[in-house]
Amino acid sequence: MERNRTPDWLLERLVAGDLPDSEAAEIQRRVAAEPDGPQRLAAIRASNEAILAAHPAPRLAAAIRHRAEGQAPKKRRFSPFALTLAAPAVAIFLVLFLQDTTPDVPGEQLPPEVIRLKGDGPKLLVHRQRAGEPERVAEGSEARARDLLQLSYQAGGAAYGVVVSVDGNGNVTRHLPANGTTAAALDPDGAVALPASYELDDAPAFERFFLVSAAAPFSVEQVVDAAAWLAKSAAPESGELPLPPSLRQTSFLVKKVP
Amino acid sequence: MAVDVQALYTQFGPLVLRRCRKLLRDEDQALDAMQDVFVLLLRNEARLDDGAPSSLLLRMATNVCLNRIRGAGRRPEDPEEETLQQIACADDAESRSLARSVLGRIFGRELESTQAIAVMHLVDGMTLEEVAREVGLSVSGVRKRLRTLKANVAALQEV
Repeated sequence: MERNRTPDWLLERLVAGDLPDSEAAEIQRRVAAEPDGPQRLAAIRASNEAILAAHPAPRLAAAIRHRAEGQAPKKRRFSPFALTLAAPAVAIFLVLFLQDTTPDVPGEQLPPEVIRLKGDGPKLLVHRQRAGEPERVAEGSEARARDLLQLSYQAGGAAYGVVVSVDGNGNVTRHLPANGTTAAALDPDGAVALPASYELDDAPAFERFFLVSAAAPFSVEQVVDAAAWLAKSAAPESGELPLPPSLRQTSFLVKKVP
Repeated sequence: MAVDVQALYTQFGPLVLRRCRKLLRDEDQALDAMQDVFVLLLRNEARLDDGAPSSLLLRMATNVCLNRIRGAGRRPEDPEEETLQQIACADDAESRSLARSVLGRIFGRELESTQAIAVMHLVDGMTLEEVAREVGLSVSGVRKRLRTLKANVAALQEV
């Protein structure tokens, strides 16, 4: 920071054409007298073009509008009671089975668990705790109200992640991180169970879980807003979250049946 | 005033993104924060006037970024980043109350946050006069506001 140099703040306003005339003239005189003043102005103008080329206005405006129309999650439906009942069994199951990342045995014929919307890498795993043995849930499987699901993720090289879900009522539920405004730091090793299991409610049609991940921290609100938009869109069961390309997203659909 | 977000982004989006890049030093975070700024504009368009959009957007971007810096807890890599973190995390009674509503400050014609003023002076290198003109305070008012952060921000000892 050079105290006598015209601050970037004022150069930005000058280039934007948003300074009062008298102030603009004063800043122009100052900049013209500085050794690198003209170059700094030219750099801002070049940067403007580069940014608008890389992030075109129609696309960004649409993403911003979608985010603005989104809503905060209406409710969280973690069931502490159900979790208490199921925790021992789920924990035992996770210890015994979730760390086993070997391929499924031939003939099991489970469909892929994850829709990889943007390449390979991070993925979600879902298991269901019923009266008997916990079972691994396949993508597109049927589930019922009050089924208790345990979500897990495999980081797949991503460092930060957010897990949310949308349901057939258009509601958004946040699963990871439970609190805070920034994406959770992901454990890089193995399948990592989320801290709480999740009891399905009586929302119709489907529950769709999303893992959004990136190499750097990002805003949870951005993901929640995108999910809220998708939940109210025409294709919440198959569409993508309106998020920037820097955020990778995978999803896992469970079909609801009575 | 209705907000034409595409027109505003075309005119001011790069300015906002550069501001976010400067403060956050992370491209993904900056892109995300830039969109947050325009979302805040859209959600508050009824209270937006068209006096000086670039100044408003720069101040909004500063506040959005300070909120992110406050929450990130990242280790500063140089003196400027350290100053930013000190400002973002400075704890004074005024900041605590204002932090509840960034937009209330800006759109409600309330006083600009002391932290944003500190960033303009200490990080952007603006004089007290320039800061005062941007935020609509007197120079003595800016100096007084900055003194409230003195206990937490070492660089403010000179004010």
